[in-house]
Amino acid sequence: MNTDKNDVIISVRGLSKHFAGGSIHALNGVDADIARGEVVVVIGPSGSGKSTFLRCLNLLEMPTEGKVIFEGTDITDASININLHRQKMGMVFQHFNLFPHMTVLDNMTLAPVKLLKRSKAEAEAKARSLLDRVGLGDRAGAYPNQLSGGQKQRVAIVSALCMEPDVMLFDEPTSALDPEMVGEVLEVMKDLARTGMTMVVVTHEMGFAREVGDRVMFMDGGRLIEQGTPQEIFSNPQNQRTRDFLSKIL
Amino acid sequence: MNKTRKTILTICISAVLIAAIAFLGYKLLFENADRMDVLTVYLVKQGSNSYTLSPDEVDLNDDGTLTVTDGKYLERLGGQKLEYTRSYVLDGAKTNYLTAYFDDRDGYYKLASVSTPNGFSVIKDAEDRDQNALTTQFDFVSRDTEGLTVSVYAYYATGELLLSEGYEQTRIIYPDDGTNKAKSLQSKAFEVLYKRESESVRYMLASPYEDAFICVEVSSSPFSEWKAGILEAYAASTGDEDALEKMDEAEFNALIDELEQTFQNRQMRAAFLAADKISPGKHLSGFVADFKLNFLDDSRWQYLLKGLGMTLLITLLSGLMGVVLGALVATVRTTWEKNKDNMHPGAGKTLLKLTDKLCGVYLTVIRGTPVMVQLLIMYLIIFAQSSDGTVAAVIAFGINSGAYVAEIIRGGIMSIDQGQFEAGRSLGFSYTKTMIYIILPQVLRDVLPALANEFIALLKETSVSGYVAVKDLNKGGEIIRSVTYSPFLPLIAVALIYLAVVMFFTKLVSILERRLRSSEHR
Repeated sequence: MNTDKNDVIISVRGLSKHFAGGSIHALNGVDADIARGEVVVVIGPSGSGKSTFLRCLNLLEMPTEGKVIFEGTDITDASININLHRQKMGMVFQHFNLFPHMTVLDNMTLAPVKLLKRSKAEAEAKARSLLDRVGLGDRAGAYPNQLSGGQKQRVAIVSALCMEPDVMLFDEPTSALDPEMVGEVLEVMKDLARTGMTMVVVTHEMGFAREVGDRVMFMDGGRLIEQGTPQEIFSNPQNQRTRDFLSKIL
Repeated sequence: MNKTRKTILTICISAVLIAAIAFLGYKLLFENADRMDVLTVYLVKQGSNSYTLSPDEVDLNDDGTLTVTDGKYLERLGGQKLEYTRSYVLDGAKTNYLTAYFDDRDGYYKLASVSTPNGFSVIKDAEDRDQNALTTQFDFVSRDTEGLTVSVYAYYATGELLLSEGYEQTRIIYPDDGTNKAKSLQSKAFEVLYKRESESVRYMLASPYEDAFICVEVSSSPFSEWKAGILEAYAASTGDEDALEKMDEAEFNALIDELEQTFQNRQMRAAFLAADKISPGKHLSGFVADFKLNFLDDSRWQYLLKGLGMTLLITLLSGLMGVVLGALVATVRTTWEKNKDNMHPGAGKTLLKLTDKLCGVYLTVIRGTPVMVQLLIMYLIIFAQSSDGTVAAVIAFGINSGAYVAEIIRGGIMSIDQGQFEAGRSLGFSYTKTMIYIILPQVLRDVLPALANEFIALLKETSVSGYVAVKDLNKGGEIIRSVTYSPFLPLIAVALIYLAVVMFFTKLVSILERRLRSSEHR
């Protein structure tokens, strides 16, 4: 457990998720804490439950059991309005999920205008400055299908940032990209990490994990097998399964 | 633009080809076929009072039937009741005549009721213009064209009854003491005239007392022919074989005037007026005459025009209803489908589940039964009290269309990538807002062409509205056919109008599709 950052933003207790009427256990009692400003990288083989874990954090998947406490609120409680909490949790998807019928600018301003009641101008100014930051200032009027994969993902990231979230969740953000575009997206994510954003990243990019991650979680079989600094996990893994996994991919 | 011009050209060429085929087909099939229209003449002799309703005087009920009930003569006599039952086949919206005759002095004949086993049963009480009126004639018009059977029950106290209802089946029941002039006169007249071919169906109940009643039915095309019919009848009754042989129309009318002097209470004029409405077309020939007969005479084209208006109205209203209903059902179904796994258990979830099940039943039932059956159920069972066919049709077609629209919209929503929902939800949009801002704009573009096609299909489906007494385009053609007995042109015209309207809407849909495609950004 990383202890140098004590301000816990997300706390997960006994998180389980069963699919197909209980026959598939994607998550089996996961406990984890994520501190404010921390970059947590979740790794593990396919089907290990790491994506499900991430999607349970903002309840895109409703956990079968367990609690997710976000900024002190148990968001699995039926009585809370999950939509308000999701506004504080940005999410980036493997397949970008931009809205194809809107321009880049409209994609970015939709949520701030409709949900945060920002003025159109204010939202656009923020969106444009974010686009400039990721080198896409000239693509504000483009439609998603006119962008490359890397550009789409950068737009998706800054779209999420437009809501000024407290935490960003990345669900394999580079897995659907051509290799030459992976770099530009990772660069944006590294910049984001440098600004102190709390990030939970599910990825297969070990280089990113090593370089940017404050903490690496290794999951397998729906359980959190091992976690520690990148140094600890990559250089000296304690668990046999971690060692097997790393030996296969490194 | 070039493409548009090409399409217009194609449509024009198709229209010309269809018209040419129609014309040739008409030539082959109908040009030389005998087609007779019917002229009905009543001559009622002095010595009895009679009254014949002219078509103008006929008071139609909404559903096209007339009402006759009158038992007062029967009651007054405490009379014996004779039940006379016959079956008739009524033709279309054509006016059918039923004549009852009764005589205060010698006997009482009264038509008590005319009814049909299926639905149309009401017959108008003939106007008793004069308390001493002795003859009453009833006209009735059948509501539907084919195969309706009418039973006539005639009650009378004394005397005898004459009943005729056509050619081969003519029955004349003579009075016991009726071996008189009237008998011979009538039988002769019938003999002559019934040789003629005609599609007329005429119903008559009359007393054949001496000098009381002559009924002549003449079928003919040109004036000369029906004149011949009158001539024969006249000759038969007067014994003068040649008197009318070379009459022209003016002279004939003069004769009619003369006859008026002789037969004080006659009904000829009304009958001839009716004939005038039919006969002018007879002077023309072939296609032109048929066209004139079917569309121009009596402004019959208005049946088609008004019918088209009704068809479009029903389609539009039921289409709108279908879209609203379909959108609601699709929303319920997709909401349940997408959220059932992530919903917290509770009243809301139970309610949504029940609503979803209900929608499922609705879709199964509506898509599993013919629209025609649904229409009849709506009209005859659910709207049995009001019998407003238009409302019943709009609602029946609306409910039917709603089921198909629901599946189109549901398909559209389900075909949107799940990632779009997730993206919306992860930004903090509620399910409803995700739908409104993100999903539906995309769905709308996807399903608009399919919805438009459903609308076109609906337009054609409404052609069965005639079954619930709605005068739509198809029914308009049917009305014309039943009056003119000329099926070809009205049917072709109805088909062409449907085709033109459908092609027009299809064209609109394809323009719409092109617009949508060019604005697509995927």
